[in-house]
Formats: sequence, structure tokens, C-alpha cells
Amino acid sequence: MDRNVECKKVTFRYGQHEVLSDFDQVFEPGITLLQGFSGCGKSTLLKLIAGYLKPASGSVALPDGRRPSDPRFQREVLGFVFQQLNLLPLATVERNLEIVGAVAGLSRKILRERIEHLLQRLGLLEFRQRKPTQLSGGQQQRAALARALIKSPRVLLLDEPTSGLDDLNTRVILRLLREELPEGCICLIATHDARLNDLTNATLDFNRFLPVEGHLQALA
Amino acid sequence: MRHWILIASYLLKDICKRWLETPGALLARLLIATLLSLLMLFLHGAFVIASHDLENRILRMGANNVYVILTRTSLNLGTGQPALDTLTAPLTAHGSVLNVRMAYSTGKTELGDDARILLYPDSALLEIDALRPEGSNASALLATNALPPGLPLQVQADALLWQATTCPLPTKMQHLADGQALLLIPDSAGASLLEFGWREICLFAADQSADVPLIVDSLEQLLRSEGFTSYNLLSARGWQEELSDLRTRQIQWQTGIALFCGVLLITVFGSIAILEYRHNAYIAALIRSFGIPRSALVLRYLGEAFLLVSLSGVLAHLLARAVHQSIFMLAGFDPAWLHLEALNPYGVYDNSLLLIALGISAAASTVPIALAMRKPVGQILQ
Repeated sequence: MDRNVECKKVTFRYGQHEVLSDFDQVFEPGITLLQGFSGCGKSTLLKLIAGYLKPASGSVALPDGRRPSDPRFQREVLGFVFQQLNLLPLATVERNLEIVGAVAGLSRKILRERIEHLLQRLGLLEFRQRKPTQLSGGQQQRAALARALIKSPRVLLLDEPTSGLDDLNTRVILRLLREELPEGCICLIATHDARLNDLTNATLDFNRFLPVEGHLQALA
Repeated sequence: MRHWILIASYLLKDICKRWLETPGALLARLLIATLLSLLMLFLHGAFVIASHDLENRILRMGANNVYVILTRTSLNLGTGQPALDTLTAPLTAHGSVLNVRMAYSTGKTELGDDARILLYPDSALLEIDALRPEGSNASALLATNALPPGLPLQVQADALLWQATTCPLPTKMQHLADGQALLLIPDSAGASLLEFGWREICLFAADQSADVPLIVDSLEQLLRSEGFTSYNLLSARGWQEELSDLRTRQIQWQTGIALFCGVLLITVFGSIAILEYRHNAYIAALIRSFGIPRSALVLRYLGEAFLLVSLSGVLAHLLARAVHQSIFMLAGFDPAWLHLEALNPYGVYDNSLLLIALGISAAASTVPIALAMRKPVGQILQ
């Protein structure tokens, strides 16, 4: 069980609104898609696993017995891509990767090799000295993925990584996830983009956790 | 270590960017902190100069000295009142007593300077002899600090001419000299100068300054009971009380102003910092999402606040030094004390209260940021 991410009776509320209630789930190494309507709790679950939110009750167990609140987990083990505004605006693409790699404790040599490799794989070599404002949305999202992968994370959490991206950018990201995902990495992708279904058969339908009135609200 | 350098350089860039984007916020903080620092510096300066003035007066008077001066003229001679040396005889148990008489006429040295004339009795010979420079046997001494000791000089008063030797002016006689030289001659050598009257003076130097207030009170009662109405009883007691009051007021005022400035700085710096943080909360949360503790980000705001108050402190210090003389001269202070080379109230140690107030204000202004950063990263990042 030490290789998995395990949610044990996790409950989370935004004020009075309960988003997750006694959520139990084990996530094994490999890619798992979390699918469902907007507001069904996919992003919240990712943030709970990352330690960016604290559950009202229950707990999340991480590989090697780590806990989400442990800063070392966030520095060394976790890769996270947010829906938007992922990059430090005053740093170049290369510096964005360098900061996260250095925070993870990678040596200068390894960091340099990985930066070159990932920028090349994502077609960002010529944009390495550009700042986020000088990049398109797709380029920014690719750079964010490169930053999440720079430390070869054991837990990779992606929140709508292809939202608003064209097919070409989506294909680049899909290819990278297939080929560059570290061995034993638990990758959870919150999405309602059907183009990602080719990635894996492991899908968790979050709609089933919604109450009936939640479905009706989502449809309305 | 390397990641700290990278994060620190990024945060520094962030600070510079916001300074360029909103120079008003930067200038407002600098201006307010500089003006408040200047206010504290000038307040401290005013107290230091006023204290120094009083200390100097006490020094010239002598903290242990008491002067009793009676005016004797042909009108009040023979009223049966006892002589001053008789009245002050019991004081010898508490210190040294020197009774002299000062003539109304003044002498003129051959250099053209005025000299007050003091006539001493035989009982004062021992004390006056102690002033005489080695190798000199002149009966007249010209006590002055303006000339080297042992210099022979002629002094003339009325029709009399004395061959005097210069000697240092004793501290306890400085008040009597009042900026002039004192010609000390034996009673027998200047009797004709006292024809129309004199001032009878008792110079008492107490062994312990704590005794002075009681002795002054006793002397006052004694003189009144003997029927003296025109006398001067001088001591540094009043100035000492004034100095003590001044120091108490200095502590009260400086503490009050430091508190006022501190609260104002905390309000201004804290408000601007929290406004800037609101604009920047997403970036701060993004950095925290890498596993960087929020204390490191609070340090960034703390560093900025410290940098600004330090800059303001330095600016205020330079400004205070530049306008020191003009400001205090306008305020009516004695120009003699306004030379920074002689009396500098802007030393670091002297202004430690200002430094403490600035430091605490800078630190306290980041408290709202530290509280705002308690919000979980996941509630800020989308």
C-alpha cells in the first residue's frame, strides 16, 4: 500500500457546502482520469492530495508514508499543474523550471539535463528565455507541465491540463504523459476533456458522488 | 541553498517591479517614515541641546558650590548686622569656605582686558597661595583661562597699579568672573577701592553635593532672620532640578512620540503591504505550492519594510544634519551649542529609541501579511 495514494473517509466543505463526503479511494501507480461535471469536487480532491487544502475529516495517505501537509512532499515528490496562471510571471520559462528543480534538491547538472530534455520534448527550446506573458496559452500550459515533470514526481496531479487548448497542443501533452511519466508515478488528471480518454482505462466518474440535486444543478 | 538564492532573487525582482509599477506607494512610505524619523531626531536634538546648556551652567557654577553675595554700601554699613564670614563660619564643617570682597570698580590689564577685583582676607592666604604659579611671589594674581599661567602683567584700577601674575581661574570662581579675568589682591593692598562699598562674597564648596539643598535652605533662613533683605544666594540647585525635570519630560515626550510614530508607520506600511499582497496573493500561493514555507514569503515583506525604514532613517539623518543649525537657531537655541562637531545629537546610540521604533514598526507592519498567508494555498490557486 506504500506505493499508492489512499483517501480514507475524506470530507471537505467550502463553508456550508459539502463537496466531498466520506470519500474512500485508492489510487495506484499509473494514470487515472477524474471525470465529472464542473463543481463535482475533482479539483478539490487534487488539492487535498497535494496538501493545498485540509480535509474537514478523514485523511490522505501518500507513498512511503508521507502526509500531504509535509513540505518535503510538496518540494520533492509532488508535481502539480493548475488550470490557469501556473507560471511565475517575472521568471523566464527556463527559470520557472530551474526554481522548482532547485527546490526539489536536484543537482545543477541533472537539472540542466532535464530542462534541456523537457523543453526539447515540449517544443519550447526557442521560448526558454521568454516570460509567460510572451507565450501563448498552449505554450504556457506546456511549460507548466514541464515544470511539474522536472523533478520526476512520484505523484503528478493535473487539473484540467488541456482546458482551452487546441488539438496540436493537446497531442503534445498526451504524448509527453505517455512517454515521460516516471515509473511508479501516480498521475491523477481532473478533466472533462474526452480527448484524454485514450490515455488510460482507469477512470473515476465523480458524478456518482454528486447527490441528485447536484446533477440537476449541473444540468441547469 | 541554491533554491533560496533563486527564490530570493525572484522576490527581489517582484519588489522592484511593484516599486516601478506603483511609485506612489513607495514614495508615500519613504516620505512618511522620513518625516516621522526627522521629527524624532529633532525632538531628541532639542532635548540634548537644552540639557547640555543646563549641564554647562551647572558645571560653571559647580554642582557643590554655593555663593552668598551681600551688597555693602556706605548706607547700610553700621546697621549692626553681622559680617558674612561670621555668619558662614559653621559651614566649614561641611566643606571649604572662602570669603572675599569684590570692589565696584574694575581693573584694566596692560593688554586692555577688563578684570574684576577680588580682595581676600589673611584667612584665605592658604587657598590663594595654592593658585600662585611656581616661582612667583607676586601678591596680586590675575586669574584667567585666556592667558598662560605665570605671565607677569600690570593691572590698573582707579589710581592703583599692581604687578600681577596670571594663574588659572578656579572652577568655583568662574561664576564670579562671568567671562572676565579676576584680579586677586590682599585686603590690605586695595582698601581704597572699598571706599564707597563692596560686595561681600562667600564661596562655599560642599564636600557632598547632596548637602547643598539643605545648606541653601538653612542659609536663606539665617540671612532673613538676621534682617538681610538684599542678598543673592546662588547655587546650581535650581538648574539641577530643571535638568531633572527636563530629563523626565524627555523620556515622556520621546516615548510618546515614538509610540505615535510607530502606530502611524505600522498603519501606513501595513495598509500598503496588505494592498500589495492582495494583488500578489496568487504568486505568493504559487510559490508556497512548491513547498516553500510561508515564513519565507513573510520575510520578503519584512525585508522590504526594513529596507524602506532604513532608507528613511538614513535620509532623515542626513537631512537633520543638513538643516540642524538653521532649524535650532530659528527655534531660539543658543548658537554656541549648534555646531555638530561640538555637540552631535544624531549619534546611533543616542537615537536607539528611534531605531527601535522603526524596527518594531517594520516588523509589526508585516503581521497582517502573516495572518493573510494562513489562508490555504488551495483556496487561492485555481
